[in-house]
Order: sequence, then structure tokens, then C-alpha cells
Amino acid sequence: MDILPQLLINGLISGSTIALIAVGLSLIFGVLKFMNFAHGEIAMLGAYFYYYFFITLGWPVLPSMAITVALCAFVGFLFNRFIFWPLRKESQWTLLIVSVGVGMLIKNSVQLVASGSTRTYSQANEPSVVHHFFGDALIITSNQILIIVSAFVLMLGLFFFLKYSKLGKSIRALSDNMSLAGVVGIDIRRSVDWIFVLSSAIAGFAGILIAYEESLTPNMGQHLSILAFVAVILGGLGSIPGALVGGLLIGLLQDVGTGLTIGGYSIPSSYKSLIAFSVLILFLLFRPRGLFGISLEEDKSQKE
Amino acid sequence: MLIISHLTASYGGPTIIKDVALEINEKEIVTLIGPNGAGKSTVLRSIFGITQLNKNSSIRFFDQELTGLSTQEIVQLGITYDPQGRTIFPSLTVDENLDMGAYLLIDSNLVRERKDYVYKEFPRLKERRDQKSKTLSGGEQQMLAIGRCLMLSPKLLLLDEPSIGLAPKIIAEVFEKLVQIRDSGVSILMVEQNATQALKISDRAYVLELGENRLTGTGHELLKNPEVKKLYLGA
Ligand SMILES: Nc1ncnc2c1ncn2[C@@H]1O[C@H](COP(=O)(O)OP(=O)(O)O)[C@@H](O)[C@H]1O
Ligand SMILES: [Mg+2]
Repeated sequence: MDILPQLLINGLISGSTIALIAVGLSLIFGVLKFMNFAHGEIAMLGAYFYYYFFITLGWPVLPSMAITVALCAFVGFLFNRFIFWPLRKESQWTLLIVSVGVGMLIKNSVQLVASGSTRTYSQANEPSVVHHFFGDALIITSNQILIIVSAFVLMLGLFFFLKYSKLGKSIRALSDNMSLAGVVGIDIRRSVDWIFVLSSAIAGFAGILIAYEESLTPNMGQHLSILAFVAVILGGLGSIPGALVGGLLIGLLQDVGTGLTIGGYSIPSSYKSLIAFSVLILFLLFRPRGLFGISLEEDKSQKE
Repeated sequence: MLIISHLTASYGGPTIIKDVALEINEKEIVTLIGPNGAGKSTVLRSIFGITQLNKNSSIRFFDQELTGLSTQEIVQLGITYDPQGRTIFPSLTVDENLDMGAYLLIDSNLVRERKDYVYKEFPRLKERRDQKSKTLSGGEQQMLAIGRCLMLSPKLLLLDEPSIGLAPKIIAEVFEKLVQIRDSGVSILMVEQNATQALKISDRAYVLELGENRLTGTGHELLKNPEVKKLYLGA
């Protein structure tokens, strides 16, 4: 039990980054009604862009982050404008398959350019300051503190944006009833552009955070898409707070589940994904509407 | 104020309405009745530019031709539209639904003013302003949809079956509100299945059949018209 605080912190770190990706997935689902399996790849791109500016070119942290986030937002915008938006009237299954294809395109492009090798930020970077709490029961680096704080600040910012800003309200209106949103004069195409820009910027930032903790591989994006998908189902379709809570829970369950030894039994950490998928299957079987939302079957909201 | 002539429209396939003519004067309630599938909703959608119009079609609002304008431009000119079906944003609060009605209004003082006006007209909405709109009763949801349309202080209101799914007592309330709105200077063009009650409050009405004009007259004339009685008033 001594290691529980440590596991909780580790879970919170991975969970908050999954939550950031899941919230974008949920926003996109809200308007175009499909699961965008290319979304995790944007986070992977973010990690690689940041590696290029921060490590390869040696730029300072903030400019590297700013350009990374901007590039990810732009990539998201382009994929929407040229692929998803023109196909918006197709069935959600068509869009889903297309998004898987787009994801492969992004992954293979990165593999080609970065030659598929594994990289870590720490190779080129001095280790960050380490803090000890409760004796040695909880060890947390400055970087990890920054990750948790910035992820939570971003989530809070997004919450206030969606709740109070005009664009935020119109995005929620659009998810509720797209044809009615058009009738009151909301520019639907522009709003959907903004959703992709926003979601992709957040995913890119999440990618940067993840890369501070884990090594970079071109395969990480696929994995992140799936974890974010599980988080959205867990939280409940159509619920933004649900996606956030779902992401945090998945992170916590994975780390706590593989870290604890109970009665001599433990799950090896290479089985982390097993936990995520078990949770997905259990929820689909017993509570398809997730914690706060509606189920895929109940989602009768019409396409435009 | 609105003159529709030679309106021929489709959804990209077969022609749905053909050579329809219609006129709405200031401070009038004009009702469009007719059997299911006659093309009543299509007339309203055509005014809002969401159908494909034949070249000869003309929709004039004061001195402005509406055909070819974007939804935003039409709304800015002072026409708001409550489409058929569930026409609220269910997960938004009552207050946020009204905000969406004023989406094209930049001046936030004006938005507040308009909202005060709508809340004064619909006190029950005010009581529920921070509730999610899906928790409202059917009648309240319809009032909210009408309130949303009033947020831009329109000159002309288009309503597609405002009484659908409501109890008779609530329908009477809704129609009474429409009369008040008309008396405050807003013209209303509405589509109704509930012909008897609708004709009673209508200054004039049109009967549409198979996408074409069939009959027209004042509300009272049509109420007494034997053909209308037989077909739509269940007499
Ligand atoms: N979005 C659409 N696409 C294609 N056809 C449509 C569409 N909406 C309505 N129609 C067709 O147009 C005709 C008239 O419909 P509508 O205007 O809704 O009639 P009403 O409102 O009088 O019941 C119907 O035959 C209907 O099937
Ligand atoms: Mg209709």
C-alpha cells in the first residue's frame, strides 16, 4: 500500500493527457457524429514536432510549444477541410474508416521522416528536479508537476470557454441540433473548423506532455486514439465532462491496476491495455451510456 | 411586405412545389394549410434559402430579393424561422437558447434588452432560465422556440406547425401569444395541421395541395368554405 500515492500520481499524469485527447474526440463526435481515429495521431505529431524544435533545433521551451501547437491545429484544420467536412453527409462508419486511413497516413509519414526509431527527450535533456514526499513514498519530478498543472489548467479553461463564450455556446448548440444552428445564423462550416483547430491544438499539447514522460514512437498515436475512445465511452457519448473524467479514470485504473500487488498477485505493466479494454467491454455490456452520457444506440441526434 | 411569386422548388430531385404565389402584409397572421406532403414546409424552407429554386422564382421582402441570399443575410433582414419538429437546443439552458436566437446580434446590451422583453412576454421561461431546456414541458418548449425567434426583433416570423404535439388548452395559449405578437407589429406566416384553431386567429390563409396553390381567403371565409370544411376541418 506504500506505493499507492505514487501509483495515483502516475495515473493522474497519464490520465490527464488521455483526457485532453478524449475531450477533442468528444467535441468532434458532437458535431460530425463519428469517432475520429486519427485524433490520437495529432498528439503523436505534437510529440514529434516538439522534439524537432526543442531538441533538434534547440529552441527554448515556450516558442517550441507554441509552434508545435499551431502546427497541430493547422493539420487538424486541413484534414477537416479536405477530408472530413466534404464527407460529412456520409454514414458514421464511412467516416470512421476514413479516419483510420488518415491516421495511418499520418503515422507512416512520421515513420518515413523520423525513420521509425524511438526517441526520448531525456537523452538530450538534463533530468528535471526531483521532489520527495512522505519520505520516499512519493517521488515526483518538476516536469510531472508541470504536466498535471498545465493539463488541469487547460481543462478548466476549456470548460469555461464552452460554458460562457459565444463560440463555446455555439459549439454546444451545433452538437445539439445542427440544422437549427444553421437556421439561427451560426456559420456551421466555420464552427466545425474551429472545433478541429481547438481539438487538434489541445491534442498536440497533450502529445508534448506525454513525450516528457514516455519515449516517442510513431505507434503511440494509434494507442492514444484507442485510449481516448475508451475514455469517451466510459464518460458517456456527448458529454464533455464525461470525456475528461473518463480519461482520468482510465489513466488511474491502468497505473493502479498494474502497480498493486494483492495477495501475491499482480498484473504486469505490459498488460496496461488489457485493463483499458476490459473496462471498455464491461461498460459496453453493462452500462453502455457511460457515466454521464448516452449510448451509441441512443444517439438519435440527426446529421445535418 | 413579403411577396412570393412563381415559386418552384425542389430538393435536387423532383419538383416539390410549383408556381406558388403568396403574399403577407404588415401586421398579419397568414396560415398555410393543406394535406401532409403538400409542400407547406418546403415553402418556408424556400424563403430561408434551403431548397433549390427554379430561376423564375421570386421572393421579395420589402424591396429586397431574397433568392440567392445566405441564411445569415436573411436573418439580418428581419426574418426568423422556427422549423418543424423539436426546435430547441435540448442540452442548453433556456437562457442559452435565447442567446442562440441572438447569435447574429453583436451588441450585448441589445441582447440583454431583447432577453428582458422575451422574459416579460413569457414569465414561465424566466422562472426556468437556468434549467436545461429539455426539462421543459412541450408547451414551454414551444414558447421557448417562439421566444428564441423574437430575440432579433424580427419583422416577419415563420412558424412550422407550432401546435404540433400540444394539448388543446396549450395550443390556445400558444395561439393567443401569436395574436399578441402580431398586434405588437410582427407579421407571422405559419404552417398548421390544426386548421380550425389556426384559421380562427388568421387574417388570411392559403390552401396548398400537391405543391400548388388551391384556395385563398380570409380566415373566416375559409372556415366557412364547404370544400375546406370537408377536407381539413373534419366536418
Ligand atoms: N429534405 C428533403 N429531401 C427530399 N425530399 C423532401 C425533403 N423534405 C421533404 N421532401 C418531400 O417534399 C414533399 C413535401 O414535403 P413538405 O414540404 O415537408 O410537406 P408538408 O410540410 O406539407 O407536409 C414530400 O413529398 C416530401 O417527401
Ligand atoms: Mg411539414
